[in-house]
Amino acid sequence: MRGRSVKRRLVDYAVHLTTAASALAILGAASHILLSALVEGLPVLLRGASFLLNPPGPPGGEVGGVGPSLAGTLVTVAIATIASAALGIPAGVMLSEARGSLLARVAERAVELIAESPSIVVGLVVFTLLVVPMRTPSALAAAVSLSVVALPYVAAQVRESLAAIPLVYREAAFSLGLQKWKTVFLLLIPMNARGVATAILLGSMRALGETAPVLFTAGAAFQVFYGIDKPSSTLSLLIFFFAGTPYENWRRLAWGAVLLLVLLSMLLASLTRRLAGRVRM
Amino acid sequence: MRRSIDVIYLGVATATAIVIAIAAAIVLALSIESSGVLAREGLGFVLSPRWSPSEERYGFYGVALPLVGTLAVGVQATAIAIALSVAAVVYLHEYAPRRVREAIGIAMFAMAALPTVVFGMWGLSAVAPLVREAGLGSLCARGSPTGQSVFTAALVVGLMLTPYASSVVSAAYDAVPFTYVEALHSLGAMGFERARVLLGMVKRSIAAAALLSFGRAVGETTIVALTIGSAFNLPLCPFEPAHTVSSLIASQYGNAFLYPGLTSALSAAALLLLAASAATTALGARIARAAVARGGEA
Amino acid sequence: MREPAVRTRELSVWYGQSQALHSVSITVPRGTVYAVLGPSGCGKSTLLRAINKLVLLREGARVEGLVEVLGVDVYRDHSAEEALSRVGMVFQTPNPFPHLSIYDNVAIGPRLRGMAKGRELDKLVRWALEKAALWDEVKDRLKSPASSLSGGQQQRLCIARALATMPELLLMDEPTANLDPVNAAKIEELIKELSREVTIILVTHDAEQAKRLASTGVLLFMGRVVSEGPISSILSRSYSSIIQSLVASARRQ
Repeated sequence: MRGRSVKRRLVDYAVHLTTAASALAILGAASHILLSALVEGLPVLLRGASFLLNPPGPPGGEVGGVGPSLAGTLVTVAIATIASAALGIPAGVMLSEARGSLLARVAERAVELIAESPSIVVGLVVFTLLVVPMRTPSALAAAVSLSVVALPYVAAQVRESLAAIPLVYREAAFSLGLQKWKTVFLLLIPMNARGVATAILLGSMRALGETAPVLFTAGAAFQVFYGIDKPSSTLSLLIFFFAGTPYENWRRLAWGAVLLLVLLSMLLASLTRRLAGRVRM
Repeated sequence: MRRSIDVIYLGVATATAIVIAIAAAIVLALSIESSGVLAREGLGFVLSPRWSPSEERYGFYGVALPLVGTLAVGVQATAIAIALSVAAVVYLHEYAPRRVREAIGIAMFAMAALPTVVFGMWGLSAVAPLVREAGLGSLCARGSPTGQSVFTAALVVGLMLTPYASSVVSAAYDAVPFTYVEALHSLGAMGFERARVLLGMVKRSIAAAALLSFGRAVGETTIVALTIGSAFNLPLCPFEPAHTVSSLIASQYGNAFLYPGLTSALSAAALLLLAASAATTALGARIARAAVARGGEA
Repeated sequence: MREPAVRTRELSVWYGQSQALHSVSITVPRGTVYAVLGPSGCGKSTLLRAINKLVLLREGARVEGLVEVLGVDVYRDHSAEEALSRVGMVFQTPNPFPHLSIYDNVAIGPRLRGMAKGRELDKLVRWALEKAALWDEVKDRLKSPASSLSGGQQQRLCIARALATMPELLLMDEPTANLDPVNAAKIEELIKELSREVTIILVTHDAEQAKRLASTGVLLFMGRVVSEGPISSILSRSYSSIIQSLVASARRQ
């Protein structure tokens, strides 16, 4: 009567099996995604310079490359990283160091609202406010869109990393008698340079991976990179457009772009992890 | 001396003000832009199933069908993400050997880092064919011939959300004070029995994870646009193609200049998305914060 | 004479690289209150958790030597689970499951074991709550959450939770350490009552409490046994003799 009945053991075994199967399904899905990217993408990626520099081939023709889209990605992600850092770091500092003040409280809500906005919504807003007046989609509009999407991640990370500074160090910094905002920028931020670097990396990771914000803003110029104020494209946009085409060569190109994007994302993610110890997901 | 300090504060305050202005611009631009279609269609915008930009001079804009699609994808994706993450958390905490724990940790990390368009590409080229080959479409009246369906989209979005949801659930599970784990062992509880009690203690965090996942699923565009099959259809059966509000917006990217009322209609749809996503995310975040403040106790 | 309730021989426990117990050998006779005494950090809690194997929950824990509970070698015998199902535990901080009702907290052990259902279970819960001197205070609100009770009541609820599984051995890890004197006195009273029916191992850092409650016990210092035997004798030893025996036991190894 006492101890573990057969029924309990059976139930436990069943739960063990089903939960293990779920975990295995997650592991399997992740491996399948990465392996597909590797198997389908590697032959394309290995074409080297022609893949990285050339434009896509004609529909149904040769594979070509992702040159213009890669250029568009580098430009837009660079601008978005700088812009989201330029706004997100001070905003994060404000959220952490002026907690409770009216400005910080409003900013808190603002950052939350931007974070809660689906990225397609951000893209549409930038479309109405920038693309329509400029009469053309552009790399610039795409970069603005990506900056807005990356912004709340940067601000939240900066706020967290400042809040995580132990009280003893914080007291030591403020005991030096500098004025408040000087103390923050000259002592607290350097003290947590890793946290700020993590924030910037998180922002660029976000900008690199997003597709929806550039759908309405970048244009669809896969053949040539025309410049910052002209229609352009990004790697993720190229994948989005070429994934569903009936042309074998374009689908293969999309897989090459997937692998390139996966590698870049993993690089940024592991850098972030190394800096922060743990990535906020 | 004093001047330079003011300059620092001024810089911080200006940047913060710009951030606030951006948030305001999002809400204002969408509201102003959508007023046109909302004045014309009224409640019909959310109640009418008719979406036809080219008709008459202004076109007809009703998003009832995509709204149902958003709800269907959101609920199914959330159910998948929560089921998978709760199961994974139970397995990792109560059963898994350390090696396996590490392997799954790495898989979760990799999945969390993957751009959504990669999930979308995978869903289109691996999951949709699977759904097609399995003949699932024949279970529904208007079953999808391509394998692109509400279920396909929900499955891939659910997988995409799993690392996120399980990080929330796992953090709560870890935060249950160790003494309760010891108490359960001292009572002779087996793995599933411990899990049942401990999950009961973190049910608020699970609810928070579900709301946060739903908020994300509602706004997810890239994956859904690639895998749902983009059709105006009332998706009462999961293996039929459909539209969500987000996939509808995405599908119109090239037409926005063509029809006079389209931008307004898309903005109104975006406003709906923003409201739904913001409401569920804010509620979820609030529950999560409250659960953490209670020290992991239910 | 039946076998002792607990017998350890050369029991050593490591947490990673650091050794928490050094060759501890004790014998706990049946039907007594046995005190485990010593300053904080001396290994008292580890010894208690080595007896019911909770020690293995800690990351990197390793156990060597023999632990016999109710005649069963719990680290090697197949019947270890059965033997440990007759062991209950009460913790230093009251830890009733806060989301379960008072009733469900007491019923959880019997339910897990499939010991009773319906009326039978009601009776068992009532019996355990009476034994824990809590019945009169909670009989009208058995469905209220356990978290609505005071600290002292919560600890008695935890005792009832352990008693409901009808243990033959009850492990108590400083059960009064986090209670006020009035509630601590109630628990002590309870321990005296219970000791007529169940063997109790009581971890405490309070020598006076040990004298009041226990007949025999062991004094630990830095993970080593200083002395074992009747409470009066282990507490009468001088500081210098403690040091001497420590040096001697360190040499033996």
